[in-house]
Amino acid sequence: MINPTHRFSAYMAVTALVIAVAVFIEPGALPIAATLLALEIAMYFHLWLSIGAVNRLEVEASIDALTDREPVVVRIRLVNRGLYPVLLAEYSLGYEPILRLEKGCKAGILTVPSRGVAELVFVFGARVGMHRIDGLTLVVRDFLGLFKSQPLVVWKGSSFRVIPSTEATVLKRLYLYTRSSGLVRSRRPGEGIEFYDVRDYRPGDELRRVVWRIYATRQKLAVWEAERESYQAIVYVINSSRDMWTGVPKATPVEHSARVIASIARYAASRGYLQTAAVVNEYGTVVFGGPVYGRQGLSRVLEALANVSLCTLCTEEDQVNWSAALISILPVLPRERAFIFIFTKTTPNTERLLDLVIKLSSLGHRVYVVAPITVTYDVSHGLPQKFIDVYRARQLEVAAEELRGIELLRKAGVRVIAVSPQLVAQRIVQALELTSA
Amino acid sequence: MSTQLKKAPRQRAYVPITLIALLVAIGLLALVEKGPAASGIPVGASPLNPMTLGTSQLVDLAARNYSTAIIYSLKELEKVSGELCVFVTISPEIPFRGDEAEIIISLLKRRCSKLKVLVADESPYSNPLLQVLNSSIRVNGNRVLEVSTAAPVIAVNESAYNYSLPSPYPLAEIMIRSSHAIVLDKASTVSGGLPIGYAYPRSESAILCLANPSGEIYECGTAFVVASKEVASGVDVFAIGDGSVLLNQVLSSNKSEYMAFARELLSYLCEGNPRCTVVFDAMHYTSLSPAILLSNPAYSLQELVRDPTTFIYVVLSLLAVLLHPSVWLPPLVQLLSSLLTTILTGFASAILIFFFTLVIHKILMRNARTFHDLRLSEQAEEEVGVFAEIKKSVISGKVRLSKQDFAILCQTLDALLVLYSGSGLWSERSLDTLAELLGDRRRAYKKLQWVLKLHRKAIGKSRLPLLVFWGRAVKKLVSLIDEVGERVSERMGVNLI
Repeated sequence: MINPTHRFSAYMAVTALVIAVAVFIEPGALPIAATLLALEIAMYFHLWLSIGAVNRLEVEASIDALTDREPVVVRIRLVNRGLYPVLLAEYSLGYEPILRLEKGCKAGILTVPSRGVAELVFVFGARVGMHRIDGLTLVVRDFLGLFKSQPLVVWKGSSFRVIPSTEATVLKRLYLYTRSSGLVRSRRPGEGIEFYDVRDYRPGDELRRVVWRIYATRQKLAVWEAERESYQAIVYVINSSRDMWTGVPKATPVEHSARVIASIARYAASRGYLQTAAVVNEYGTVVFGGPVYGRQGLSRVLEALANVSLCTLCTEEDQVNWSAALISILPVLPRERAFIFIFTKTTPNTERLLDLVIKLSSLGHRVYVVAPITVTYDVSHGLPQKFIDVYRARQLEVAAEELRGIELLRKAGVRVIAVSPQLVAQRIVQALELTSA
Repeated sequence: MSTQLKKAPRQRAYVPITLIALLVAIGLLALVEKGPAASGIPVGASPLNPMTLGTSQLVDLAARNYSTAIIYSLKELEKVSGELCVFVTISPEIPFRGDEAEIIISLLKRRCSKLKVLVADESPYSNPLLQVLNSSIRVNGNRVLEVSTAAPVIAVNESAYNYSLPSPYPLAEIMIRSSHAIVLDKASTVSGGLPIGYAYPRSESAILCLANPSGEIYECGTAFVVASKEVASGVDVFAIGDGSVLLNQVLSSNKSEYMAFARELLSYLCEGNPRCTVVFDAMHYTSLSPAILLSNPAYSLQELVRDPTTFIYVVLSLLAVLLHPSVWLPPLVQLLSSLLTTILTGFASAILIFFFTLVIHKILMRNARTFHDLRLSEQAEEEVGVFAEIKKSVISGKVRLSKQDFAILCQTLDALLVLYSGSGLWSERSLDTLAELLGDRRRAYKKLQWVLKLHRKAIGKSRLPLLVFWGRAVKKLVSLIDEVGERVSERMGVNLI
């Protein structure tokens, strides 16, 4: 539990020298030798008491996380109810490497007074999905650095989920676009807000729908009829594999896709569409039930998006298994035609992806691949000027590969949406409304 | 065949350790030169002593309304100035010397417009100060004792008296602005000046007697003068034959009359003037050095460690003094010097010491396995994904642009053109597409020819041109692709690269 350091060895060498001098030359050095030995024992005893105090610390941790707009605040309170203080403890907080600490120190020195509390506050930039804080580790030392404790994990960590925010401007633009372009018109009477026709009154019609102007002129009851708004089942599939987390934090393909899906899902919920979502990555596929209506559908989609996560143990060789994804998705798909939007890179594994799309299409579903071009999400920040050209060349090579993937899918008849990030939502809604029943 | 791994780059500190060690050494020497703030633990009625027998609370009380200065040496007096200065000395433990008192008074007279002196002392140690002021007041250095008339008293030895009889705590009434009735503790009578305070017995069945320092009673009466005042050489002198009435133990007690007495005394001496400076004497007190304390632990236990607060105070004060380099560095250097001398002069003893040092070290370390004292590893924040890997390899400097890069980038250009027009770089319509995007047919033709020629060379289908700087060629192609990509974005509303 208590390990002596190399400093301890040097200290003991000095002590041994003083003892030898006291024995053979100068007996007056004996008190100094005794003091040195007593000091060493005192340091050991102090560390022993400190470790006891650390082991008895009560840890109260809280993580405040909501959407990717607000920062994630991690508060760890170390409560020492004992009489002995923790005077010199080094701490280190572990967390997922893709998280960015904005305020607070991830490692440092802390003191917990006796019958007192020390509070550590860490503020992270919120990133969409499920993330993990790995825990807080302490190492206790004595004042002279002669001994140190083994790393003591005082808090084992916890996971938190961040849901993507819907962008109000995107939503407004979607509503404006669909209304002005007549995309939402089904040309059939039913529930809706757009005017469809006026017809004769039938028993059971609501009185507020009666057109009193017609009654006044023709002495005949007529009612106002709305055009039925069209709706469909939508399934969003989002790939959260390693390469989808590339680029600037908070603006990576996966986070952008999540925000786009959240915006579309909110829009679709208001239009009464059935919705659900599935998350795939190198681990496997998680499906959050079949498509459901309205707000319930929206919360199902948001729940799925809050579960996108980075496979921290995966390597570059690990890839998404699209065949397994198909097996997981199939049971939740409705019998009727559904829209399936797959947000993914087209490479690697393009053939498997194509296979998935073909199989889903053969079941009568309308499948779109929304392919973020990862180069557009990446910036060469932090690179010295002399490397910029080399880096750009390499970026373009990756882009070429992705473009070839898109081309391959398109040649096979797959609908691929590969546009600028700001146009993605609009294109998806256009595809949805133009082809819905 | 062996593979030699490249060593990881060594981390270099911005400030070399040698420089830090040098600065530390300079700092230590400077501290030794300056000496500790206090040579030991202040004891007695020193204004620096926060314990029961100190007068630090009186300093705090004065500091609430007036400027205060604590004088450790005559040099400190140079810093004192003000409209009105009040020099206060309470139960000094080291007698004032005549020359020293003269310097104090002359300095204070020079630096202050008006000077007053308060002497609260039961010993004659402060009389030289009164003499220098040409004051007729003297502290007699005797003891005022209250003796019950019910039992005859022949002689009293102070060290052996019974506390109930006779008592060294007579009552006194001292007149400042108003009258204050307070209990004195081992007080002395005061002679000369204008009497303003009298000690008297607390009951009718008792009388007051005066005992000399050896404890013999030589005079008895019903009242004795214990406080006087006088104006001498233009200096107001106020003398009380007892310093204990201003100690921390009485000021912090529940009896508020002491606090009222101290407050009115300060107010009277300072004339209620906020520009008054109260100068506390801290020169005439002994301080307990750690060496004395450690050499005589019994003394320390008896005299200093009276309660937990005092114990903490003593330990902290001791540590503060002991940790100061001026305490441990000179003996250490001396020890090392003598050790070195011994070793250098006696080879045999050096060998012996070295051998025994090794043996003792071995014994002391027999079960210990030591470790590097490394700090806890910090969480690294990383980028992930394909571009993070590319960045790492580019920054490592391993990546060089080559003909393979040129060939791959030609495919990028091809993919771009295919997405835009459906026909690629090697199709017949490539010139039209490129001309449309670049807006200059001639330039498009030249660029296309250059790209196709170098592509043939890159994939080994042609030997011409003979000399190609592939790095430059790749950079040129990248700028062409960027330009084409930009045009595609403008025309299609699509950001492709």
